[in-house]
Amino acid sequence: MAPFEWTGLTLIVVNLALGFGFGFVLERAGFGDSRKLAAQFYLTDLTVLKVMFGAIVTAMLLLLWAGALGWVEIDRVVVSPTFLTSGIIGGLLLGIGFIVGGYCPGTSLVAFANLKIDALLFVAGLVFGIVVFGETVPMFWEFFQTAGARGVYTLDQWLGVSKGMAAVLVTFIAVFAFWGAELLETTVERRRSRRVSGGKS
Amino acid sequence: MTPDRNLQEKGTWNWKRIGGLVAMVASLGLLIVPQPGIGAKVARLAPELDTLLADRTVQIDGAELLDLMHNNQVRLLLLDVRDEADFNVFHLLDAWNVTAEDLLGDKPDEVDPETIVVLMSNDEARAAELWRLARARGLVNSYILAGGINGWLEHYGEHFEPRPIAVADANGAAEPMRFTYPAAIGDRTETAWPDPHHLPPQDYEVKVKVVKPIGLEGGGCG
Repeated sequence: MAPFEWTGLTLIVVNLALGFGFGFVLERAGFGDSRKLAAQFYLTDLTVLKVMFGAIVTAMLLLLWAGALGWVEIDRVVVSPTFLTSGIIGGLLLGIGFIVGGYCPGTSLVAFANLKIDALLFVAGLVFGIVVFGETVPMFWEFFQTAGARGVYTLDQWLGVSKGMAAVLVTFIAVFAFWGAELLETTVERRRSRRVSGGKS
Repeated sequence: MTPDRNLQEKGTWNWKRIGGLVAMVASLGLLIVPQPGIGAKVARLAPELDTLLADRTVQIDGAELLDLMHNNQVRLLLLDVRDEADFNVFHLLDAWNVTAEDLLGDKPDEVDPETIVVLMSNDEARAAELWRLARARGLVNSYILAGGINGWLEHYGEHFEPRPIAVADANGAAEPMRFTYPAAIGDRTETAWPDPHHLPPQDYEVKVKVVKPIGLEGGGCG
């Protein structure tokens, strides 16, 4: 079976199928709607948190179980190196863009596929940003490649525990986050309803 | 919460509970079925590794290593697995003196997966032993210097000064160094990094093939 070595037309077909599947699932999850995505930041709809955290936990458990059963060599799966400072700055910028624009890069393409005007403008800005970044990156390349560099640095290494224990912690945190998110949504919704009904009376 | 949402929530609540429970049980199961240890991994890979060793697919000629040492287009890591005393007497330029403990520790994680790693001992047996560990630790582009350091000195030593001196009695060591120098010279001789222009042309069978790791390009937000 694995490793799969696809080339040429097969590779294109596989990529298209995966891309279509990913886009379809994002759309069905409601991620083609900027209002739903932006609601994350107003604590009224935490679907993004739940879907993303759910995806992380699912992928983590499947990968680690595949490793435990000897189906995947975890050592051969490339883990991107950690650049803490660059990551924090990049995350903040992405977050600001997310709140202002209502999309993140992938979801903007999903919304664009639905021919939404705001998504069209967001994608135009995205492309412009990519060009600007590409043209200016030599100016801050050294900082970008060294700021907070930790090499390949995973949670189990940081905590000094086994991969299994790290997975347990992440899963329990995720389940707690799901429960907390639902609670928060209900509370915020209730307060808003009270405020609206109070305003009317 | 609107009435519609209430109904929807009630319908999905059980599924959410079941999903959360399954995830928690699956994660706890990873404590019972841990990731394969290095021993289990070596044992699992044993048939494949034994075949590669028996076919001499991974034992590269000294001439091929020499070309790699002079090739600035590849990342090369030389791991000398001999005792420190032998290492001090002579070693190849930029070689690291490592032990099995080093290969079991964090060092392999720091090596770029596309780096060509060549292990060497006095002959081949010790290098082959640690090569298994290196492969099991994910260094998929690991090779062994055919003939080891003894073979290297035998082949290249005579071309450069100081010349290595053959040792008749190796004190019954398991894999002894069959050459020595008047003093521990380490890599302070051209034999440690011979200039191919100072050597007669050599033919060899090319065995090094760089295997790319399973890549997860990109990622991030959906």
